[in-house]
Amino acid sequence: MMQDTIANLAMGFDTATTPINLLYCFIGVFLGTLVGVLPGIGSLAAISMLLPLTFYVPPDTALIMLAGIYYGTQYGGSTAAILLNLPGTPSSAVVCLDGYPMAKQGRAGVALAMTTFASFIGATFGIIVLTMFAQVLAQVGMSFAAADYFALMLLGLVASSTLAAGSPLKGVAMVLLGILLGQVGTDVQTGLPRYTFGSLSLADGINLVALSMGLFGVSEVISNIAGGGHAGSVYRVTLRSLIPTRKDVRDSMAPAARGTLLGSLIGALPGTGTNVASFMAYVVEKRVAKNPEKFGTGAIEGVVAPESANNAAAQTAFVPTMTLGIPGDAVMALLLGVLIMHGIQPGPRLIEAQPALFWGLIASFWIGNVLLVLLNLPLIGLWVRMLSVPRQILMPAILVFMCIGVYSVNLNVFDVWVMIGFGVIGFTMIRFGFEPAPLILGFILGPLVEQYLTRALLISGGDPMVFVQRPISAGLLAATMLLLIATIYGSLRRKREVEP
Amino acid sequence: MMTQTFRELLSGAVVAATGVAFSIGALQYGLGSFSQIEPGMFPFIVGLMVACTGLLIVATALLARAAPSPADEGKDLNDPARKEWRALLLVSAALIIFGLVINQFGMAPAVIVLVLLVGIAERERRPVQALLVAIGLAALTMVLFIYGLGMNIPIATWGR
Repeated sequence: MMQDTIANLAMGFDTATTPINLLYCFIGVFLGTLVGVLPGIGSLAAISMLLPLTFYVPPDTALIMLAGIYYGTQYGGSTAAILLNLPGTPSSAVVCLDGYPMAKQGRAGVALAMTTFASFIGATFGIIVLTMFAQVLAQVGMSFAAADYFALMLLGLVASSTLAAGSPLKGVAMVLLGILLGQVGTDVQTGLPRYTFGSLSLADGINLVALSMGLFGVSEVISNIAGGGHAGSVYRVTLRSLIPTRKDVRDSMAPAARGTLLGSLIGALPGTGTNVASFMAYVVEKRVAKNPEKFGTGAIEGVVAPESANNAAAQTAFVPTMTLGIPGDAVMALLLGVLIMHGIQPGPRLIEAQPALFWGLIASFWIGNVLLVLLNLPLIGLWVRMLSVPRQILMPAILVFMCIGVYSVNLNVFDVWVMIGFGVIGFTMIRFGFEPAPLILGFILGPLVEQYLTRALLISGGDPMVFVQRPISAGLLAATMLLLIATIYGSLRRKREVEP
Repeated sequence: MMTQTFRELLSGAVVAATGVAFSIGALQYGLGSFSQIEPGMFPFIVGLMVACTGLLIVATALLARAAPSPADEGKDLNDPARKEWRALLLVSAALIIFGLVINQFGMAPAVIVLVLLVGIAERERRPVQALLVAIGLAALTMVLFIYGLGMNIPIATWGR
């Protein structure tokens, strides 16, 4: 087993170190750090923006780049949090609490250096967890029948919609609406066009690139333009100021270890992801601290723990995605969407069928994380300067890249209209308290859910009892029901508590 | 003026209506039975689930309305949103014009028009700078997309 893993990793490094893959890995982590540093643009928007590019490269290269953006943002996110008191990404929001006070005390350099190290420790452990558990979990997945798969996807969808930010009820609504949008296009089983209104442009379904660019890209640009720019001075960071004291390092050890463990666990669960990981890590640190009152005044523990947690989570999030084909969050769903667009079926057979892709991706994580340390420490001055690029250049540039990108996929203006439409819908939904991220999960998993449901019923001869007779499926469905009931009960009670 | 309750009621109703619309649409594809599923079955069921979720959103909003929380009282949600609706309108207009121009006249003019229009949305007051940004971005996208990735988009044409 151990030997197999080493041989597999060696093969992975062969894939990951080809010049094109190294280049795209670098592009990924570079852009990831960039969008992480810039407040207002998240990894979802960045990955959506680069989806058209993935049609021009092989699937392993595409995945290596998009994954690099995802974990790269986790590194960059803390920079804006520490220097500007603005989270570059949602998962670094808690880093503001102690990172910005550290910057005010003239310790910005130390905070940046320690978050980078904590990120690296968290990510490294996360990759090890991924390497160890991926094959085991895929083996378990092999024994799953169609009914079990249906139940597992249902659990994944419900978990990610109810546990994510915002109202759980609205999260469920978004997932279900996403499934409905995924119905548009030609039915795989019968070849019948559904909800296309006779349009040829809709025969292949709603374009994933146009949908995600609209929901995450256009709507973010609109709120950025409406919100006005961030003013304020950026703290200067010299290379010398990065060096932490011996006490800083000593104080950071245990928090980094706790954050890493917690993040690895949370990342692998569906629906939680990096935001929950960093938040939980901060809460735990405050709980175990001998003097919790120093949190919020520049405690290094409050910076290190969340950063190690969200980076560990960013890596272990690949466990269910790559081994079972169940994405934990919208970014993972988009990566699965890329695989499907390249004709690769996600699921437990992925590792066996595409060993070079899977192990190449894991090897690229090692390479990418080393690159990120190099990018984030010696080049920190570059990112600090990025924070002062005027929005008058940034926002039009983002819109131009999205427009040309979405147009280039099919050279069809229809996709541009779809993007605009979902940009408006996405923006309106956010204003009304609906998070668009679960919608993309439903959109990508919806067709798979339908396939597994149909297949399970076909095998059982139309007997719906098949879902409760198989122990795996019954257990998963019971867990789903419990989660749903707890959610509905919780949201009803929360509303009632408002009453005096 | 739009209160919190009204927003929730409205969004719940829109969600429910969308679900019902999809379910009705599914009827024309045939439902079949569990042993012989036809293409309308799955969207029909999901549509009904969406409708139920929408109704639940309405129900929770009504329950909460029984005791309006002080935070929601007299909060005019339209006012801070005005800037946002303006941005929404101008950006989507800019994007629509981009779509029309790229189809008729090619990539370079479309990029320039888009950047200038976004400049208006951003209340850019320096037209020369905006024009420079527009030309710069047009050149950059040309290098990246047409020479770098070999995309087959005409740079500038007169009708197609």
